[in-house]
Amino acid sequence: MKKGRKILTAIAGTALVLSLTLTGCGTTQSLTPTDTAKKLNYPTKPVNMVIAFTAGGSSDIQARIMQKYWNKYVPQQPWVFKYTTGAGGAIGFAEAAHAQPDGYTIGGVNVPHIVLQPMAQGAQFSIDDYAYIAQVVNDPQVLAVRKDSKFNSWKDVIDYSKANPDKLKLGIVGTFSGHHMMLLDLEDKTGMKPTQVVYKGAADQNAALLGGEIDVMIGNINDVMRSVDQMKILAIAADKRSSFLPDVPTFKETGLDLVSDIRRGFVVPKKTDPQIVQFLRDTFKKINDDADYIADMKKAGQPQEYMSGEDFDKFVHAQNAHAKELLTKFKLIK
Amino acid sequence: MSKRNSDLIAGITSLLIAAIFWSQGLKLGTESNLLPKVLEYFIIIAGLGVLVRGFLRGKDVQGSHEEKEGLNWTRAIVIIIATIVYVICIAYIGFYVSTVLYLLLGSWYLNEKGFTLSSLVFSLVFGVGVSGILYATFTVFLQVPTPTGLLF
Amino acid sequence: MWGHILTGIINSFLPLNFLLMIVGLIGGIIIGALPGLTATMGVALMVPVTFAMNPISGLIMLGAIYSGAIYGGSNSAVLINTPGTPSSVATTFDGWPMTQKGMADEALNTSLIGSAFGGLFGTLVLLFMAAPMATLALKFGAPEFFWLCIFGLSTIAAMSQGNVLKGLISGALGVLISTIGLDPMQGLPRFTFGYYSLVQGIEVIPAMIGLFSFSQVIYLVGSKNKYIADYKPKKGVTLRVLGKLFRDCKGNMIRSSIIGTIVGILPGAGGEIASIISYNEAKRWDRNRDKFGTGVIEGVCASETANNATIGGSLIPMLTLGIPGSAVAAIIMGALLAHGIQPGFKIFTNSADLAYSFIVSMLVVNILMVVIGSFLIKGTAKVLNVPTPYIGVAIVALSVIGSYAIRNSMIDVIVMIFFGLFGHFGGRVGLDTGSMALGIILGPIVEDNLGKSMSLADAEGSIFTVFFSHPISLLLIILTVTSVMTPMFLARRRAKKEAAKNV
Repeated sequence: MKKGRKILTAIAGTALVLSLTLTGCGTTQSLTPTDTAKKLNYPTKPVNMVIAFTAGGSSDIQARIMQKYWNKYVPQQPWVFKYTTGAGGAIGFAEAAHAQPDGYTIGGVNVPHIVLQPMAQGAQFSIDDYAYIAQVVNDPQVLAVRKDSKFNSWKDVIDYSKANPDKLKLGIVGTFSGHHMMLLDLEDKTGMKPTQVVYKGAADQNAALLGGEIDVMIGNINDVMRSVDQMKILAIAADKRSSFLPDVPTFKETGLDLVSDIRRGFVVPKKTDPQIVQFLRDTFKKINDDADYIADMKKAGQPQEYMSGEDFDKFVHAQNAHAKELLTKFKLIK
Repeated sequence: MSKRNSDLIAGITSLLIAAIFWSQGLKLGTESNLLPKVLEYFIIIAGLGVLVRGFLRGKDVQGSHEEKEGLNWTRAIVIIIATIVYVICIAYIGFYVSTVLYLLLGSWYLNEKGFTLSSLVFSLVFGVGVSGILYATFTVFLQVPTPTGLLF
Repeated sequence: MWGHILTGIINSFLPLNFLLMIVGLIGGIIIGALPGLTATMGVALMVPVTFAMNPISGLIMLGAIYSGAIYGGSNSAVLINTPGTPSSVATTFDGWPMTQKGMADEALNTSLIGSAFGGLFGTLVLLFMAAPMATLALKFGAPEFFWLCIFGLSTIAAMSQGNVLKGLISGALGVLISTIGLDPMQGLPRFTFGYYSLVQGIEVIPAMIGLFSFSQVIYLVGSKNKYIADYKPKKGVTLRVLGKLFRDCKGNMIRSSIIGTIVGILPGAGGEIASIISYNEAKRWDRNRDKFGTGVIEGVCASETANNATIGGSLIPMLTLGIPGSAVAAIIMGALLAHGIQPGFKIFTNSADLAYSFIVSMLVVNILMVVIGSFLIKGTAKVLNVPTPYIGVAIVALSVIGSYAIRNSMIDVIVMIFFGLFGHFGGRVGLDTGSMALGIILGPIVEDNLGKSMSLADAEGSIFTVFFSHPISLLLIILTVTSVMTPMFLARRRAKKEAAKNV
């Protein structure tokens, strides 16, 4: 039954955007940008794009920018957005994992969410359910304090926390999230002992930091940029400095091997025809090489970073191993 | 319904719900179960209070104003069952087909003139019309996904 | 600044922008009135459309949709006892009884004028006091939020006079039900009864559609009434209501606007809490407080004024600090960012034209809303002329699609049916649906902030200092205690009076 429903979802989707396709895009097959040997007849109907977060959110905006360039390179069929939200994205990620593997359902996924949710929260998908198309965003985490804070480097924070166990109030967004992993990493590598305060979203976390409820917070570039005038960013957990915050040192260059980030990418179900996967990988690469796309992403404050599907696959599995080790160490999973 | 019965039923229901949540929470950690536990205690105490009050009340106290207006139970129960069937149907034959059928049969059953041909025609027009408006607003204008089934 | 305001006025009346306002308002009102389609969804759906426009026009349209949708929610609350958006729950308390008394016209116009007044008030605060008010958002920490929600929940005691015990049980059941899903502290699933789907929790809107709407349909189709309520259109109601509101409800409107604006500023608290608190306060300050709940204009006015006042409030921390005060403000911020505009105090200097045009356009939108709204009311009120058999089944169909639309999930439809049955049969034994709805809405916020406060208490080493030493917390505690004690005190005084009379 479920299988039939999925097919018919797509058919219903076709009807839905028929009005759109009738008005524009007269040219069809001649523009198919495929280099594969056998002639690939894809896509012949609109492609569902499953977003696991609310419309208008960061994930949605990124995908909407991408959509503009998909229409440029694959003008014959549009994307149809479907927002399947809930449980921190787990519901939408599961939908992308269990969709009909015909190439007509692409899902936006976040790492480490797709690693942690099946591991710790019983989410009903696994990282092996996907064929990875590309990574498109790498949003590194930073350690931030108020502008008037007495802490001037991340080492100050660690020293204070070690000298006063449980006294430092450190805010993160969500448990079993990218922030949580960075906190565990920090505790593991430095021996700091802060009190963790869990917030629902970046909005109330930022407000809590600025209002003095917490002393220090872990945030993503995309979120701290909005209140950057009132904050002091101590360090960034990335391999290299960010073009958004060129003056902020990385943990690595100041002596701590810590890289922690949230990455966004796109996937299709594992069993999808390899030719279609290849087509999508090629198309996404073209989009990511487009200078206009990169400019649009920069303007929207999205830390764009492309990684090929093959590499993204390896990266996700490496993250999986790392997370398993860390969570076991802190006895958060059995 | 007498105030006595209303108290007894309300008391038992709330105790039952608290008990279900209690049993579900047995395996949870203290942090996870903190607020639920507090609420369960509260509901159990208050529920027992209502229950005892019910027992103490005399049998003859008439309450509840709604009762006097009279509710046609057959109609209410038919609509409840019809709605459940409707929701199940959505999964098989899709939202719009089920909706037309539900609106058609539901309004035909409920209307005052009874099962006449003219009221059937009216219900048909109504069912198709309302579904059409829903289709225009949700699917065409807002492009919000509607539940889909095997047929639509 | 006045120069920028002038630019804003000019921008608002450019033909394209004015047209976008009208379209946005009508679209917003319809979206708001349909149960299940919220302001958040309406604005989010239109964000991609604004990418093709210049940022000023785009923002003007989004603002119009936001205002229209929050107001629109009152239409269905009044006419079919179904809050179109969560922020209209308190509107049903008096709006629906008014309709049943044949006063639908008055109720609809009250909510229209109240909404416009609240909207204007909030926007004026945004225009002239954004900077000082923004710091208020930061003063509000987890303990303050906790007490604010408890204050909101204390409404239950005042609401269910004569049956406080059952009211409190209903509220507690609501909060308990809201704990289904991932717990906010440890992120672990609980109360899923073995169904993974429940890990996403009980969504507020389907539960409310069930509690208010489906439960009411069961009653409607089973009753002998031919129509939902008597309704005869009256001439000149808008002006009459306008006169009455400004004669008798000045204090009410201003108080509700202030409450709405302040609650709007707080991230994580929006129209749903503002309208509940305003309703409760309106009742407490009114001489005829016993009439609340039986269909009085004051109740509708308080709730609707407050929820539209949250709009201006929610934009204050978003524009000045980059911290959105509501889900909709977050989406509007997303639209700003997509246009490459960074929020922050600098927005009033670097992108002054944009910022002031947006704010001034919100003033125009609220005035325009009265005109457009009073036309739309004439159409929407016709719902009451449809015989119950037809309107009953149509409401069910609408409830189903609305519940599903929230997040494309059949679970929500099942939740809606379940709460409809629970609401209907619970209502028959005195378990109050309004109280339960309050519990479901406020429950997650209570628990989230209780958890954060407990963490903070760990660091401070004392639960007492965290919960009882902040001035705003103390104020809220005092308000809560008075709010609970007043009805008790009054009941006792009344009993004494009656006893004296009987002697």
